[in-house]
Amino acid sequence: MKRHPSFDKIAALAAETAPPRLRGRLEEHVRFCKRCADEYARMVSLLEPRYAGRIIPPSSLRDRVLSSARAYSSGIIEAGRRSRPSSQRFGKRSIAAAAAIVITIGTGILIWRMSIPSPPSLIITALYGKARIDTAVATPGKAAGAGSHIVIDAGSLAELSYGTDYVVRLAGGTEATIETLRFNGRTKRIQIVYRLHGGAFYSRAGKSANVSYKIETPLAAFRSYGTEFLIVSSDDRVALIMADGRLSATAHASGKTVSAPGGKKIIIGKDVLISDAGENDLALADRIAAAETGINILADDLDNSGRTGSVKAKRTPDDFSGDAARNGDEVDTPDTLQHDRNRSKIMEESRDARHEMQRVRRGGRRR
Amino acid sequence: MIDSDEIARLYDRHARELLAFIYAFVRSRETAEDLLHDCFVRLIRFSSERAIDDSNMRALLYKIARNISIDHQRRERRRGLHIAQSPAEPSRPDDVADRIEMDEAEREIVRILESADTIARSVYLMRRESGMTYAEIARCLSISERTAKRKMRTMLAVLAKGLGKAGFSLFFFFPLACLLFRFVVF
Repeated sequence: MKRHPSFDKIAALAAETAPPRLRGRLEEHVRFCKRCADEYARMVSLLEPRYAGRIIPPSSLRDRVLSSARAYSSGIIEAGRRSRPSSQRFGKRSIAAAAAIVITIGTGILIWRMSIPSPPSLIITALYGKARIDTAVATPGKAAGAGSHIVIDAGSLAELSYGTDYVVRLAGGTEATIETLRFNGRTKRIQIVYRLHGGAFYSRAGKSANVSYKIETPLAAFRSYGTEFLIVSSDDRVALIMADGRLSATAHASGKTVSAPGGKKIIIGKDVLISDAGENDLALADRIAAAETGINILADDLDNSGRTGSVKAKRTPDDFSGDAARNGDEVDTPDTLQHDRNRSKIMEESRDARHEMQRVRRGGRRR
Repeated sequence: MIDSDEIARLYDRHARELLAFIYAFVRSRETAEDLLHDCFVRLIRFSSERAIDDSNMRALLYKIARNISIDHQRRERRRGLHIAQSPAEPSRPDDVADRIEMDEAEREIVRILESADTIARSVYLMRRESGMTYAEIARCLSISERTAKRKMRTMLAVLAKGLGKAGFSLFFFFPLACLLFRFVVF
């Protein structure tokens, strides 16, 4: 080996890890090269024991080890320290673990119970006249929950609210049951199912109210979420006036489902009719929305009855008394009659124009 | 389970080398003696849990000693109590200058060993203090013989290089320190 071997090769020689062939060459080089021999000697010196033979264990340590060995056989000593039997250790650990589990579960249940909202209820926020909830006389502030049966006396008006953005107003002569009233934790929404036996049901819900509801009437079911409408239900028909939003209606007899946006009117009787809500219809919805006195609203009050202007202005509860009120002074004023005539004329003209258009199209195809 | 007679026999045969090996790790005589005691107790416990191959007893003892020493060092580091103690404790030469030189060299070795990985450190100390073969070291550390050799070679080269640098500075400063020492004393 002419060149000096690398540091690592001398280290391999000193550590006795060099392969036999390399080892021979390295040993030969080290024999004649003083520099590498010094390096090799230095490395070999690093392998000389420094403590072995100098540190002698005291005799007391032997006794300690042997006594520990004997004691361990009887299960007392572990690793130089007095130790508890493993069963005792396990017992304390088990107790601690069990206590931790109980505390965790208890805290979890507590948090869960606290997070469950109390069953929702509608509160009577305004009452003009008389109403009953489950045979008890309703008063402002009284709550109506699931299963509550509400009856509004003729010529009265009751307003029920949930929060500030959901209001239901029931006119005189209305009978309704809150079949379901629950909070859906998943959707964070209040779900309400009403059964409207008869009368007028006005509802206004903003988006922030987060209320979805279904109104069952003898003739149809209505579903909505966040909208404003008026439903007037009688024995032979049910009318819906959409003021705002959209609502779907399903007729029980035909199973037909229709959807109405704001400004439309659905009448479900023998047939399902959709039309634009008349001014009087919308005025009717406005009136019940703003009323500060008891009112009665009948299906005949709607424009489709052909007797517009039948909404009575500013009636007091005393003005109504059951059927007498229904058959009472429904006066057609000259203004409203003129309005109806104009409207009929416009509709006839419109119909004629539509027929003419269809006729022209059919003729065109023939050609 | 190993009986106390067998423990006595094993102690008489291996206690010295084990104590030196543990001392090289922890560099505290008192701690090394405690850990040696724990080492034998752990062997007894281990033997009560599973069968032990008598021919492999030395390797097993070194394995336990190494694990105990490393665990101890980690505990000490966590507690912030790991203070480098005088590595020259076993030898107390009378000559002051010799003692200074020994301290410096040994301190440098300790510093380099502490910066090395535990396998390389264990291989070096097992080889140096106990003169174990690479096959025995490999068995103790559950590594291959080839790996043990490689670790040893690398460790030795690193030590030699590290001490070479330290020796260079000692070459200049040690005579100066001796001169100053004599000047101050006389």
